[in-house]
Amino acid sequence: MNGAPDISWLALASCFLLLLLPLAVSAKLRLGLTRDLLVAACRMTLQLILAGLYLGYLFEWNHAGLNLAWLAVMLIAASGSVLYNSALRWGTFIVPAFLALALATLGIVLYLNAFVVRLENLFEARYLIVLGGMLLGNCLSANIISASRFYQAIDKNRSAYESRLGNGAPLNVALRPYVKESLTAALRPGIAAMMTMGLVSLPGMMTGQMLGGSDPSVAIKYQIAIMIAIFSCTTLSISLFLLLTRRVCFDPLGNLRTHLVFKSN
Amino acid sequence: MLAPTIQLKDTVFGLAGKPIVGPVNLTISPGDKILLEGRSGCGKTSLLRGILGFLGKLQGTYRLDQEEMSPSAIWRLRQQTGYISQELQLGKGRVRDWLKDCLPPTRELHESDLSRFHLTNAILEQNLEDLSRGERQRLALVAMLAREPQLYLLDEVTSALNESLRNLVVSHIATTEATVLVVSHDSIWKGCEAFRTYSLPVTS
Repeated sequence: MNGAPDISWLALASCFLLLLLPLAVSAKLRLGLTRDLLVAACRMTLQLILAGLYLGYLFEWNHAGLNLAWLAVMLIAASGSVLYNSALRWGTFIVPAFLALALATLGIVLYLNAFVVRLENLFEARYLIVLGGMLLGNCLSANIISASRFYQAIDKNRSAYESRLGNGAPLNVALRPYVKESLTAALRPGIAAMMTMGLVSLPGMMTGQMLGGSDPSVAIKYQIAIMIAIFSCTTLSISLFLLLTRRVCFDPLGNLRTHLVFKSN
Repeated sequence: MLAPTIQLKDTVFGLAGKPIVGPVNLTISPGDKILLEGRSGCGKTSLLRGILGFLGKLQGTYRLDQEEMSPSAIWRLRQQTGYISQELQLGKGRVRDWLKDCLPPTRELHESDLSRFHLTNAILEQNLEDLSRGERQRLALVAMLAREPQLYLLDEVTSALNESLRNLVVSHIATTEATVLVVSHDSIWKGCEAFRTYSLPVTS
């Protein structure tokens, strides 16, 4: 396979010289970013060296069960870390977040592999892990943001919500404006991204493929496929997430169980 | 269908184990008109919320037609209820869309629904956020009455209305067949013969 030419470690080290520029600006203007920047650059390097290693092995072994297990590890780590930084309670949401993301990511990536890329082995590491990782990374934060928005909107507008219930609306009808608000907020950025795709910037996946030697006419097809897949995956995972958490987060009378939903401060 | 008889006996409503209102001893029969009284902060609003199941029952009994309250009985009660809260958060968007959302699909909005409370069709094209408090109070009443509920739970629904509108609203509500529970600081309700008053105890 004729990929991109390798970069020697020495040559990569020379890339780090470019960091001197932001470091100088940070020092001169006393931005106080020097330490964080150095830590971040080191972490990134270390993490990616590790990623290169394990992906190398996964691609080499290419074992379906192992690939799926690795995807599961990514899902757990991702849902955990994003929940950790949100207003939502870990214990209540970790399982639904994992399930919603897993079902959506796996469903969409297998569809891509089967009907779009038309692979013989649907669990091929190169596609399952890489495409799955891209879908996951792109819909994860939208997921948690929209869920916290949903529950916060109900909590903040409690009186409006109770008015809907108190005038006879069943739970799903009473929740409609909040579902609408959180879903549109989560999906708008994806629509905006599709609108300007290829005009303002060349997207990462396409660029990577072209550097790797793919023909632009092939690279754009993959980019189109991944954009649509990300959008569907986001929609599906948020809908599943709200559906799965609804049972736990509301009592039988439709009241929000705030102590289960939000972290206590 | 008539509203159920609501029976509260030594009932205390609260949240997370903390009492907010009660103990209440009150039986509300179909067609009753009751004005809730009591010092500010004694839980008049909370009693309405407790009846609708937004607060938990901590002590005593709460029966609907002799039956101990249950989630399904509360959901049924809500379907028969017209509830207007003090905060009057109606939501966002155009008045026309909001009204459509409030009314049952078979019920058209007539001009007379609006003109009854001195509103015109022009209000339908306005945004809820742009309405005055008085307009929102009347709009909430229009939407509620069009649903023909059998139980009215009204929390300060005349506070932003002028005297003639206030008279109009009170006389309309006093003559309905529905059961009515009113929380209001307006003396006009007190002067209305159809209503009896219930004084809430101070919750310890």
